[in-house]
Amino acid sequence: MQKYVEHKQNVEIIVRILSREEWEKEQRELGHKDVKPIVNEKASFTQTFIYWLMEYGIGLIAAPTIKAELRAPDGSLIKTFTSLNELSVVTRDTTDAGIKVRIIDSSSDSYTFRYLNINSKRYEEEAMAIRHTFTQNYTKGSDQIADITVITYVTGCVA
Amino acid sequence: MLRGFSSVFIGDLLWRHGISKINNATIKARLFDEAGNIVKEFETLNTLDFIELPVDNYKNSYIKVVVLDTSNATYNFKRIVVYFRYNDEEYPAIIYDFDAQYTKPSDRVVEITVSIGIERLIPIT
Repeated sequence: MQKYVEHKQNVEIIVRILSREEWEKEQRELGHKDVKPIVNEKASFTQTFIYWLMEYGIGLIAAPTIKAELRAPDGSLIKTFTSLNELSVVTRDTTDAGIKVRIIDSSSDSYTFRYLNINSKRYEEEAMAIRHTFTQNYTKGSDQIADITVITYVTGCVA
Repeated sequence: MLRGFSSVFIGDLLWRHGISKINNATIKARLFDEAGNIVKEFETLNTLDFIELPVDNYKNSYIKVVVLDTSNATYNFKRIVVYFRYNDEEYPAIIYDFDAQYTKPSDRVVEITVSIGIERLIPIT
């Protein structure tokens, strides 16, 4: 089973060319406001930047004791993983970069799962890094092996 | 529809890391004219931060960059590039091409805000 998700980029650009008086007055009276970005395809992260961010990200994912959790459709914990069978940065072409995680459960456990949570650790803080919600429930029988690969991309980068 | 990164991860740790890499660049941003010539370099940014905004019950996370030129310089610009530093080398991190070429007269201030990020992170619960 292999799943992937894509995260598109949003961006907002504001260009203002003001007189110094206008600008200084505004700084005094208004200050800066946060903007609500909109989709704009003329701006982009570079693939290099996202790639290095993902490289940093897999270091965080490699750190916690419990690296992944499978959860049942009701959200309850059913299986934890202290090691990953694969953790890497991947690209498909020059416009994206992603984190690939693969876990294999060859135990004789039997369960049904819907969610895969992948954890991270920075300093002493542990937090969920990636959560995959599968589009259906999957059941592993005691005589079966669960082999799960998830890839999470940031798309729309520029080379 | 599948969803991936949580806001905890990409909205905070990753973005803060990315911001630190941008902050480490010697030249943090450049403006280019239509012909691709460098018309302005910024060693400092007026703003470099990350913001999180909820949209349709999802979290969106952004890096926000503001460059400000209060100089008397006159130039035209069509593209802005923000740089980052990694392993002693500097690379473009963000590229934006404006729809039109803008002109900065000597008696005007230019302020450019770029907010760029990832949409629809884990739903807000």
